[in-house]
Amino acid sequence: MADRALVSTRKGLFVFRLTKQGWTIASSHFGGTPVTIALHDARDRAIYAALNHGHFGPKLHRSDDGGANWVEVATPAFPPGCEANPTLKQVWSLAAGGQPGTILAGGIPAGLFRSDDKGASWKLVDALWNVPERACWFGGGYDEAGVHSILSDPRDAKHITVAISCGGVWETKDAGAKWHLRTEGLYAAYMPPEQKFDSAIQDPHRMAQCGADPDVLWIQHHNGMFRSVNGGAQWSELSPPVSKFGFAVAAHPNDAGTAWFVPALSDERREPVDGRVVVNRTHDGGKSFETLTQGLPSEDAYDLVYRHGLDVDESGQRLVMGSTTGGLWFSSDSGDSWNISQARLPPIYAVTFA
Amino acid sequence: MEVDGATIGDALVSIFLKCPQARGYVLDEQGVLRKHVCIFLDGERLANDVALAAPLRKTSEIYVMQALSGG
Repeated sequence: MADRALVSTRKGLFVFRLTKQGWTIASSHFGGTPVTIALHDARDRAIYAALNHGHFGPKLHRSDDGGANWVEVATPAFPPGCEANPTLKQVWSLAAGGQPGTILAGGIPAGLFRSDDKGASWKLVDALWNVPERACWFGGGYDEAGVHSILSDPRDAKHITVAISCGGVWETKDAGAKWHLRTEGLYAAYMPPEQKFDSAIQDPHRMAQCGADPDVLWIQHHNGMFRSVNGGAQWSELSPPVSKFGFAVAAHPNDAGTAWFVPALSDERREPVDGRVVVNRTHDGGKSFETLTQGLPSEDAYDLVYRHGLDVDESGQRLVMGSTTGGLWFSSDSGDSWNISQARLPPIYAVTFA
Repeated sequence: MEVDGATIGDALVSIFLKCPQARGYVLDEQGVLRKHVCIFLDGERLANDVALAAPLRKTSEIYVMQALSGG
């Protein structure tokens, strides 16, 4: 099971380690600087941290020695002459894909970028940026649309599925040359009725994949939870308790029926229902849910868990969850019980086991 | 640093040749001055949309500053 976690916050990156005293801060990096997302690439054990300086814009750093030393690598960037002359506002997602050393980055605005040299250089995936439907995309969470979920098929590196808020779910089977929308079954309650089922305006807040059964995908959408068993060709809505609204979802790496969601009250009130932080878990593909509460705040809590604020390790037993008010919880029993970190952290943007 | 240039943009290009990594901290990838970076020329703050084209004297002094941002 994982014994290290990377916690990306508004004021730096924190590396947590599991010790005899529990999960404690082993090191911190980039103090005072927003870190929007971090990635541990298990293939070469490199760690990537995406910074978003208030003054100097987004930057990307990599460590090859577990965080002891960092080097600034190239930042994904929209090339000159790119349609609409966009400027990258932040790196919103990072994923390992393809050969070792290949990294995919999702941005705001919603560009998908690829590096084949561990971040030394980046190339915009033009075909996705140039889809005609991009004209329909709009911001969800930030002013402009962004790529927040990148799923690289472990069976075939040319098969990539990304989710965009608000721009739908897109799939390529040829390493990015052609892209197709995969939103059948999703709907948008926030749009006029005529556009409810339009594909390119869907707002999947977060999309997760079962590693052992990559055709099984889960979405926490703006107005519901959905599951697909055919790689996104068809989505089925789930009926969870507490609330359909939320941002985060984590998929069990080995059990295609198990996933975790963190409900919140509504889009108009982005806070826990009744001041209680809970996690919804299903073991049967979303037919039924348990609401997990042990060790989580039971009253007066205003923690919101962002879309990258929940992760599960490769065993499916350990979970980590971080909130916008700096709450950080770990579970070692699949979410049955949680322990809060005593650290009083900055607002948490993203967590990941490493 | 002392550099030559007819405009602030020219002067910055000279600096970026010596220190390529600085470019992305001052300008975005489209060559626009970053929103929260501001430039003072001979003691006067310039608006971001005209700063790069501002002409220089031989002895002009340029400050590239961080504008206040966030908390």
